[in-house]
Amino acid sequence: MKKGIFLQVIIIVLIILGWNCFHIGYNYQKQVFENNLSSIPMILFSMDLNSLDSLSSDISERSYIKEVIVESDSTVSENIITDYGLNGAQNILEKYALPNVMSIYFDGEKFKSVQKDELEKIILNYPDVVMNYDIPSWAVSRMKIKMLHRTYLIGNGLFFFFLLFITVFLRIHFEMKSNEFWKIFRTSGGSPKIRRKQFLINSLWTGLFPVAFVFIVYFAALYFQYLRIEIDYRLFGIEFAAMLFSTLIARISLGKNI
Amino acid sequence: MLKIEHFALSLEKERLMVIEEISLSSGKKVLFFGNNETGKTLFLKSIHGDFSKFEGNILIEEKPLSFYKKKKQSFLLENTTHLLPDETVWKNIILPLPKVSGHIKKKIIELCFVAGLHKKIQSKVKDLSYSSQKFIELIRAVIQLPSIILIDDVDHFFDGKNLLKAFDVCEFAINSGSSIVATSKTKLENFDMYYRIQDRKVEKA
Repeated sequence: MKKGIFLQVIIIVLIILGWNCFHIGYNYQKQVFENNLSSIPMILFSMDLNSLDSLSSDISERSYIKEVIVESDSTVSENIITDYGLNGAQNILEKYALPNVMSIYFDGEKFKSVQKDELEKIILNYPDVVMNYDIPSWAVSRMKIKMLHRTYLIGNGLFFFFLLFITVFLRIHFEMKSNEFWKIFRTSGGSPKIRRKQFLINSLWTGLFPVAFVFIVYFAALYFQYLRIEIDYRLFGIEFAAMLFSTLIARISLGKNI
Repeated sequence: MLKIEHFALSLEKERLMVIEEISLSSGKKVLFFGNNETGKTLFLKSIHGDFSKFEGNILIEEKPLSFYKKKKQSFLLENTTHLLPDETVWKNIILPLPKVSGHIKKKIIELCFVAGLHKKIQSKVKDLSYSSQKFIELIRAVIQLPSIILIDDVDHFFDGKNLLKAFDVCEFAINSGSSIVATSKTKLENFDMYYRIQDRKVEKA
């Protein structure tokens, strides 16, 4: 492999590696924010256990609900005595009527504004149920996820154009640099098909090889458990498409030189 | 093999050369000689297909030049050299060949020996004389056995002794049916046919 192509392959591998690190970084950070959101439960109180049971059966099958736990007043009372060592206060607690409690844990990825509004509407159908949820924390987490997603999209766009710019520039630069060689080759009786064939081979090296290499590195890292975060396979397709697109632009720009 | 009919060459409305009809059979060495600015170079370029602003017809193997647009049947040796200066003599000779068989390899070494390049086969082209570089181009053309080898200003890079060597190199192609069409300022020896370019006319000399 000639020095020029080798240099291009190295640069493209580094950019694509960087792009995939960006995907992994995004997925990791998103997971952190979503876990944070999942860890905040919505607590519902009601004196009527049947209401909570009915509500539970109403919502538990929804995709954004991760877990629903209903605790009756007696269980609540027992938990308080056990958790805080209040054996002496058992008699006092028995005198008071404690509410039944329902805790709802959410799937951080799916519990968005629409789902939150939908859940609140359902809860309103149960007038005796009192809701307690840390809405500011939920809003902050959702905003962070939204901002992260927006940054991710912008970052992808920048990576795409950066890759496109660098690869088109490098391809044209090295092809023009070899023009003198091909001119002599042609004058000496060499077939023009050879240059077109060489361009195709170079395109495979610069387009297919870096993406395939990074793909293999990614799977090896997953297989040997160096990496625990997975990324969407389709992203490799987008990276390959970007390389194909850059080859096409380079080919059109070079025109009759090839 | 080469047929030129009603050929007229003009440059900026000035007529340079007129040929009524010339027919060359294969395996011949033909020299067109004449002074500067008589259109010799453009004439060779016209046959090679690098210059198309001429009148008349040029037929190679009874086919027009447009037929050979993709795969030329001629080789033109110009004053400028078309070699890779940082590559060896060998690399430059085999440059256009799709594959180098044992027979071709043997033939190249034989031709290099005839041209006096056998000790310089692994030398870089940039370290060789202009005349040696022209021999490399000539061997490269000969080994591909084209229909015509065109040599512009042959006296510019081959003196009498080297011209004989060049003919010996060309012998391989001539025996296979190639023709040599050369130009020079003066009449040189050892060609089979001569044409003089004078007063815009090309006449057999």
